[in-house]
Amino acid sequence: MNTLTIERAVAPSALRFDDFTYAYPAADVAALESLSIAVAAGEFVLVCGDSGSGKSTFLRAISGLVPHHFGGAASGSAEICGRDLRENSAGELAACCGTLLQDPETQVVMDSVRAEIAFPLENLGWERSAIAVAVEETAAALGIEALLARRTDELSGGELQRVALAAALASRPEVLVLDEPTSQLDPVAADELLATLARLNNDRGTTIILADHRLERVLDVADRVVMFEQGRVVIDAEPQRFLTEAASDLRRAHLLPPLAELFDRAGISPLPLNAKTARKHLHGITGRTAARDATEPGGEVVLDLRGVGHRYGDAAPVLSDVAFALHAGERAVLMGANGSGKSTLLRLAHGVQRLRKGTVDRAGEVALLLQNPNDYLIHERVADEAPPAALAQFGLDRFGGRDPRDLSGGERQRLALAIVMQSDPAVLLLDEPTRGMDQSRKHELSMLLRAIAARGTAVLVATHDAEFAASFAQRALLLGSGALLADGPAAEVLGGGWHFSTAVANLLPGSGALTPAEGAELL
Amino acid sequence: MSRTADTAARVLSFGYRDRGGPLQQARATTVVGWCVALGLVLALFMNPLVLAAVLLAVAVMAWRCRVIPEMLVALAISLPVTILIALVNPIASQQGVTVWVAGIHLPVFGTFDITQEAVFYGLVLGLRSAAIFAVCALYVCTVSPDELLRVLRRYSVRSAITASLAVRFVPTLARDGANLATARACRPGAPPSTGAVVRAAFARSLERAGDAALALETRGFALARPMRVAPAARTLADRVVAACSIGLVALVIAGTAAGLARFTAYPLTSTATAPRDLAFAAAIAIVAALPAVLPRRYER
Repeated sequence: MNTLTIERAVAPSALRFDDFTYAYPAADVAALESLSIAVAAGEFVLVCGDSGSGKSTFLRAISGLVPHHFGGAASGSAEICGRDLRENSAGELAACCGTLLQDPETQVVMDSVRAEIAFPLENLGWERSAIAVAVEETAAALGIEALLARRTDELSGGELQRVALAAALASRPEVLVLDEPTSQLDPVAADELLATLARLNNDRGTTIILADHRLERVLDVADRVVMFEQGRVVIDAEPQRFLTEAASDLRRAHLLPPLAELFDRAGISPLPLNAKTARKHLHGITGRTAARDATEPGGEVVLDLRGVGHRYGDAAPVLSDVAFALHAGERAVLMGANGSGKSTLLRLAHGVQRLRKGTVDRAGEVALLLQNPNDYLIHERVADEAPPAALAQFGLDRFGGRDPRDLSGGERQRLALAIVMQSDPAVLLLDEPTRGMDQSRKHELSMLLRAIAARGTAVLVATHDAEFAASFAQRALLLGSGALLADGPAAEVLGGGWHFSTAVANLLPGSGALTPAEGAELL
Repeated sequence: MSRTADTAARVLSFGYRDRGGPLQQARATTVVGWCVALGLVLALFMNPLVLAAVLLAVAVMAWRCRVIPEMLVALAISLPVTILIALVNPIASQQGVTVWVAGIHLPVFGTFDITQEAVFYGLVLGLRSAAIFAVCALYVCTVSPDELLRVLRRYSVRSAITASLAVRFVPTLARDGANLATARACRPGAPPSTGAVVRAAFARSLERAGDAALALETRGFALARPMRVAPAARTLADRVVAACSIGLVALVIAGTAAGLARFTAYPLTSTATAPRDLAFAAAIAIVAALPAVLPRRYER
C-alpha cells in the first residue's frame, strides 16, 4: 500500500521591501521612508491611512510605476514576485502584477470589452488562441460574459471597473494591486467588486493588496491590515489587533469602522470586525432610545418645489411630481439609488437645468456644488477664483498665489465651496460631495456644512453615504424611481431602512441611534 | 442634464455599432476599401447626378446597417459646413457670365456680383461636402476601431494604440467639457472668460492623458511588439463588398476614360445629363449599394 505524504507548504513571498525609501522628483520629504515589509503569496492585505500617508506610493512601487514611471530617487531593495524592482519596469512587472486604479473612466483604453481584456495579453506576446481562451475564462470568472460584446463607452462606472479588473487579471497575475478601486462607485457596485476580490483570493489564491477608506467593507475578508503615516508603516497587524491598536491612539481612532467605534466608545471589547460579531455581544439591549436633534424646521421657506417632474427625451420620467420645501438653516440629505434622479433634482432646484414640469420658488440665490470640485477650478491662481472675503471664510486666504490644482483634495473642495458661496446664497446644494473622501475629510466637510447652516443657509446634500448623512443631517429625503418615497427626521428615515441605513441603526434597530456616539450612549 | 450636456450626449452616441448589417459583417479593411472607392468617385466627379448617386448608395447601406440615427446626427453636424460652402461660393467666386445681382457691397468682402454659375457651383460644392461627410460617417459607424487597430498593429504598434486611445477618449473629454460648462453656469457673478475655460479644459485633458499613461504602463504597453495576426476567414460579405469596391474603381476608370458625367462650372455651367451619363450615375449607385442585398446577421 502506498503512503501519501503531504508536506506542509511554506508560502513564498509575493513581495518584499527592505529598507526602501522613495521621494518623488523635487519633493522635500520622502513619500516612503525605510519601508520593510513582506507579503506572503495568497495573503489579502488591506492598506489604510489618511490621504498623503504614502499608501498610494506603496502600491505604485509594487506595480513598478514608482520609480520607473514617476522618476524620483529610490534606495533600499524591493522584489515583486521574485523580480528586482530596479531591473524590471512597470511593463515587465505587468506579467506578474495586475493593477487597478481609482478612476474606471481612464483605465479602460480600448473600444470594446473583448479588446480591452485582450490588450495586456497582446502586449505580453501571447498567442492569439491563448488570448481568446484567457479572455473568455477571465470574463466567466468575473461574471461579465454578457459584457464581452459591448462597447466600453456604453458601460456604467461599476461595469467599467469590473472590465478593468478583468484586464488586470487576464494574464493570471500572482499579485493584484488595487488603489481605492471603489472610490468612484456607488455602494452596490463597490460591494460587488469587493465580493469578487474575496472570491479571487479564496478560490485562486491571488495575493491582493488593496487600499480603501471604507475599512468596514473589507476588514473581515483581509488577513492583515497595514497602516501608513507620513510614509512609514505604523501598524501591521491582523484585523482584530489593528482595531485594538487604532482604538488605543486618539490620532488614529477616526479610522475605526462605525461598529468598532461604537464598541470602543461604549467600552465593550473585543471590537467587532463585522455586524454579525457585534450582534452576538449586544443581545438584550432594548427599550431605550437615543436623543437626537429632531428640531422641526421653523425658519422661512427658502426653496419650495411643487409637482416637479422631468424626463430625458422619450425615456421614462426620471422625476415625477416631487414636492418639498427647505427652510433657512436646515440641514437635509437627499438619498436614493443610482439613477433615482437625485442629481437631476438638484440641477432643477438650482436652475442650471431647465424646468419643464412643476414650479420651483427660490427666496434668494441657490448655490450648487457639482460632484467634482475640479470642474469649478478655471483660473491659474486661487485668488482669481473667488473674492478675498470668500477665500478667508473657507480658510483659503493664505493660498491666494497658488495654482488651484496644487491644492489637496479637501482644499480644492473648500475652494469650490468658496466659489459658489460668494453670493451668500439662501440655499446650498451639494451633489455627492464625499465620493472618494477619507474619514477625516468627511468629518471636516460635515463640520463645515454645519457651520454654513448655522449661519442661516439651508443645506441639501445628495449622497449615498448613510454614515455621512447621519453625522450631518436633521432631515432625510429618500428618492426612488423618481418619486419622493420618504421625507422626515433623519433618525426615522435612516434608522428604519435597510439599504439606506447606518451600520449603528442596523445593529440597534428601533433605538433611533444613527451614529456611534448616539449608539454608545445607549450601551 | 443641461442643454450643453444633452447635446454632448447626442453627439457622443455617434460611433461604431455592430448591428449585423452587410458592412459590419465584412472585415474592417474591406470596408475601408469600399469607402476609399466611394471617395475616389467623389474626388473625380462633380456631376450632381453622380453625387446624388453616392448619397443614395450611402443612405441604402446605412439603412441596411441600421445606423440611420447615427448618420442623421453626423449630417446635422455637417449641415452648417455644407450651408456655409453653398453661401460663401457665390460671394467668393466672381466667375460666371449670368449675373443675377450686380454691385453688392459688404464690409470685408468689398463689392461683388452674384452669378447664376457661382450659385449653382456653390450648391454642388455643398452637395459634395455632404456626400463626403456621409461616407466618413458610414465608415465611423460600420468599421470596428478595435479590428482596425489590430490590423495597424502589424505595422506600427505605438501609432496604432495612440490613434485608438485618441478616439476612445473623445467621449470622455467631451463629458469633461460638458461638466466644465455646467460648473461655469453654476458660478455666481460674471462667468469666467472662454479662454480661461479652454485653458482649464486643456489642463484637464493633460491630467486625463497622465492617467491613461499610467493605465497603459500597468497593462504592459511598453513591451508591445508588432503582432503577427492571422486574418479571419473571408465571409460572403467580404467577397461582395470587395467585388463592389473593385467594380466602383473600374467604373471610375471607364467613366473618366469615356468622358462620362462631365461637369463644368464656369464660365457657363454645363452638366452632362445624356442617357449614358444617367446610366453611369445609376451604375455607381447600384454597384456601391449592391452589398445591401446581403442578409442581415443577428443584432449584437
